[in-house]
Amino acid sequence: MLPGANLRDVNHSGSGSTPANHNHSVMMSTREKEKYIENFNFPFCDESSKYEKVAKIGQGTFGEVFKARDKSNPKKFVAMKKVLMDNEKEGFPITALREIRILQLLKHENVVHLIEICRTKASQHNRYRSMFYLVFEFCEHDLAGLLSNVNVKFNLGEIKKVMQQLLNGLYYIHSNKILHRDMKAANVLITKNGVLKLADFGLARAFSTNKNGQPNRFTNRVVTLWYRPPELLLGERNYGPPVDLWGAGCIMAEMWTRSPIMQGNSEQQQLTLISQLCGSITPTVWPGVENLELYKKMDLPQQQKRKVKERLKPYMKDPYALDLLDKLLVLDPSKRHDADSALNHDFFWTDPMPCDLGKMLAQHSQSMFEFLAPPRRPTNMRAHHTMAAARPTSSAVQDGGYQDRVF
Amino acid sequence: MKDVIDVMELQREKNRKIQPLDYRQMDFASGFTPARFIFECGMKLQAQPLTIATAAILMHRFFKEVDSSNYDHYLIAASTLYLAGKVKDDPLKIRDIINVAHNTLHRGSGPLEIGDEYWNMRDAIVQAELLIMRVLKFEVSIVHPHKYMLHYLRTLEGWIGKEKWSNSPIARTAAAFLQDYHHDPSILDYPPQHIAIACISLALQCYGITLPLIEENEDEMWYSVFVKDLQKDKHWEIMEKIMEVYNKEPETV
Repeated sequence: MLPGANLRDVNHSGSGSTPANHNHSVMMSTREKEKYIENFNFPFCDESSKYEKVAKIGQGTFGEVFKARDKSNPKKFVAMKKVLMDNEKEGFPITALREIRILQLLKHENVVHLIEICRTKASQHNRYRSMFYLVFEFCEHDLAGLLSNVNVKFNLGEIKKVMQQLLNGLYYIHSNKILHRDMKAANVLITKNGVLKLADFGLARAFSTNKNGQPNRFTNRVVTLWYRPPELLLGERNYGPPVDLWGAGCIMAEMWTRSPIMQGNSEQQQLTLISQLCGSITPTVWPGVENLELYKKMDLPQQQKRKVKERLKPYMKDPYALDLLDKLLVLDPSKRHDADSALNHDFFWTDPMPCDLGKMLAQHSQSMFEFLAPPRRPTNMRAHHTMAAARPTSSAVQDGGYQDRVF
Repeated sequence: MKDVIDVMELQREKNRKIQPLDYRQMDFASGFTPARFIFECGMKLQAQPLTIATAAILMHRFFKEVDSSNYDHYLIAASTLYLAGKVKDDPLKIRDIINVAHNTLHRGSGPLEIGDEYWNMRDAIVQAELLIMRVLKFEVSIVHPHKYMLHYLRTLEGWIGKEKWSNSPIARTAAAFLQDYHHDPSILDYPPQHIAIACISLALQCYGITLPLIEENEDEMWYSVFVKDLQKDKHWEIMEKIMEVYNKEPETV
């Protein structure tokens, strides 16, 4: 697959995908070229046929995810995530490249491990263009799948272990100046040995503290609606690690409630739900909020009292748990706990101490993914994914969202 | 921000004195690399200095893996610029790259018409970008010497003293050495920290500056406070490689 066109002498070149070097390509017929491509042995990047697909296990931000077996070691499983190459004319998608670079940078027990990148053989079926797969270590469960299974019961020590690993992962990625930007239970994987891994860095990006006093201008169209923090809903573009901590708070509450705590079906409704739980969004509790782009455009309920502890108390008996949640679900991002202070919270340092998840998970031999599990509620969470903004989101059952709400 | 090294400005000054090169006449067998083309195009595209440096490194790494006679050097160079823009989150439009690359090779020609020639080139760049990534096993993140150099220079500023520091352009010279070293593939052979030290050493020697409180002796070099694993002979070797770059510079009429 050598590029055929030649910058110095473009007129002589054939189509851009001429297989051999320029001089040979002139002499090859189309059929010969195809044959050449099919038989071409590319030494740098392994072929995906070294793995055998077993099942489709999910749909990531930029492609399908498969469980696959390593043919040379049938006991070893991997997850393969297809790279969507929609826009050929722009080359390799910058979002995919970002994910790859971020995954190559991050090496941590609580972050999913990228093994390699594979390609399919070019053939007639793919118009002689290879497809690419990111190959990850395989994790048996995802948190959304586990929570939707009533047979899976977490005790307090186990919940602490989940949250501790989750915050450890966040602490690590934030110290490496990476924002995850898509925290949700479905993106939290857990191996059968009980090791938690943050996954799906398809929306992640590097951040830096403002250079030259210039505020960042990141897109605020990130994070699945139900886990989206108030600053993003109000149009903030100069945001940082606290956006992930809000999601961590939502996931923490979900460990007890078993379904997402704020299931809005529009950005407006999400803000309403947040106000009803965390109190009215006002410049008094959140200085500077009045300067956010959408502050005046959104309808923000007034006179709402903060009821985080009160409302979650029926689910979460532990006072330390309630207190930590209260510090994560803080409206003002600058006052929200960061991963480090959350890890230092008494919740993790009082009895029962965090304890191993392996034993509990050993009782469940079947892999549990949200994608495979029966839906937890009538509304389809995926339909709310922000990157799918162009797709119709109204397909979500309008009143169904209410019936299933926790409060 | 007056202390920041403005590499772009440095380059603009240099550019004023330099005659344009006819890249089509260059002989790659004699050690000429498309790095100069990358820098020229990158500058015209107003890419960030680190984006251009990334493109140069990607180009050297690619040609280290393959038989370079099989590829069009300037196509690969243009593609590394496109890829570097994506890697550094400093996106460069492919249309702009094509126009700039075309005009740099065919000086005085107008912008390309949207036609077969344009689309062939565009397709070729997209294909080459993918090829480069695959050959580099998708490992396209680069640790640059720049950030180390900046850190060392900041420390030196305090060490040497404000007055003496502002009297000689150590920082600018070191930055120029570093940028020019990107023309040579041997830049891949040394750790970024060592390269940063060698550039500073050369700059210090150019202006005959010795560091206070450092005794000239055999086993303690000034940089040992920054890097522990740089042997004296390696240090000299890198400095020689940097100086060689200037010998390899093509003559312009």
